[in-house]
Amino acid sequence: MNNPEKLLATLPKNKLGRKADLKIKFQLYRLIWLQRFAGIFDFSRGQLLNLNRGWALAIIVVIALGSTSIYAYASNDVLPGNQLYPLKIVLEKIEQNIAIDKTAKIANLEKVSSRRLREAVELSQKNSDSDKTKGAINEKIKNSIAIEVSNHEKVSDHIKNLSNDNEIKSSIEKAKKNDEREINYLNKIAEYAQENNDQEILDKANNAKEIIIKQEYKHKEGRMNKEATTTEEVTPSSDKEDQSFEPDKNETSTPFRQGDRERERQEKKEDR
Amino acid sequence: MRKNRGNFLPYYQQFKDKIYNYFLYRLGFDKPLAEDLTSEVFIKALKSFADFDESKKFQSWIYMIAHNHLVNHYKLAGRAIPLEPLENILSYIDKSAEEKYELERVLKIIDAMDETDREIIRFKFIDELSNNEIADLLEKEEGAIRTQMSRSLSKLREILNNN
Repeated sequence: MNNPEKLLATLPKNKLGRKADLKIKFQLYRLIWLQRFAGIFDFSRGQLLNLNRGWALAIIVVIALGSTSIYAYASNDVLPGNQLYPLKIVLEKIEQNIAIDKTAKIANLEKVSSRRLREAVELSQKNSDSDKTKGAINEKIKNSIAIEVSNHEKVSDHIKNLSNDNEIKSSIEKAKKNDEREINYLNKIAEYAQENNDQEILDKANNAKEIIIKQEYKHKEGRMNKEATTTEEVTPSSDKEDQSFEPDKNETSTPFRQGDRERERQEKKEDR
Repeated sequence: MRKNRGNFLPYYQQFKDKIYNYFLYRLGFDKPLAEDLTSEVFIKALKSFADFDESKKFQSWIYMIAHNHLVNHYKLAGRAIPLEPLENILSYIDKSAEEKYELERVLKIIDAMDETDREIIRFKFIDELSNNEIADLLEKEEGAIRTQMSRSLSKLREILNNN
């Protein structure tokens, strides 16, 4: 044989199998990612800003945005007029939209309405000599009261649509606690309105309180009717009131509330 | 400054089949073993990628790692070369019985040659490297490789003609 080269040139050239190729690629990618993450956190070797600037920057931005969002959402210092306030509102809307069920929606609406009133109280406590600033604060207070009223109606509708007894009971209890808190805020806002002779805010605050009282009455009435129907089925002659929904003394601690409860009782007696 | 390992992947893509073939022909066409060693070589290369001098050819560097890995493979844990490597190789070749017989003769003679002749012929015909690439790999002048190649092929022809 004079030409072995020709024969050797015909030797088959094999390719790495697809499965083996993927396996190797996976191992290589794993190592590459491990190095990237190790580099980001390898402060001792000065890697953070030199070698993985893009990654480090991305992480810093995410952390900064995340912490800013958390601050905006959770801080009581972020009031209307603050640069982060729109972010707070957006986050609240997102939270409302992703609420998994009606009870979660109710809880969120109550939290937001209570938060708006607290913000209004904090705004009212800000000292301002400028009429322009005062006017802006008053507008924000009115807006907060309007949001509270709107949310209250939504809460009432959601509770009406609940079908599970336990959910109704739990939601009403939470609503009652929230109502109490909101009435305290509204009392403070009413005080502020009286001090500043702002009849419009006073009227709005009183109107909101009326709505809360009526709403609470509706909740109670709805529940009492439900209870009464159930009781009649067992003992038709029974005309007992649902003691569990009688307001306790702590709940009626505010003067405004006490007066309303008296009026409520009188109305009930007249009805009978 | 540490070299970005992400730059390693195009090299893997370019040389994966060559390194696989390198092992396949030197391990008697044991495919799973060739795949394992290929994987180990590229992982080793990736881990040492920071030390790779980019002014030099990646091919020479990866073949050097493969060669050292193969030597270690033979040494460590008493890993043996398959007893009948030629039969394995020939079973993958789609040729006539006569051609297979001729090829078997050639491969047997190559296996029996001394290491320098054997490796240079394998680099040329199995790994399909040019004289220049072999020179890079063995860190020799291209002219020296050309001379060595000529001598090795003459030896091969001589043995073939005498048998």
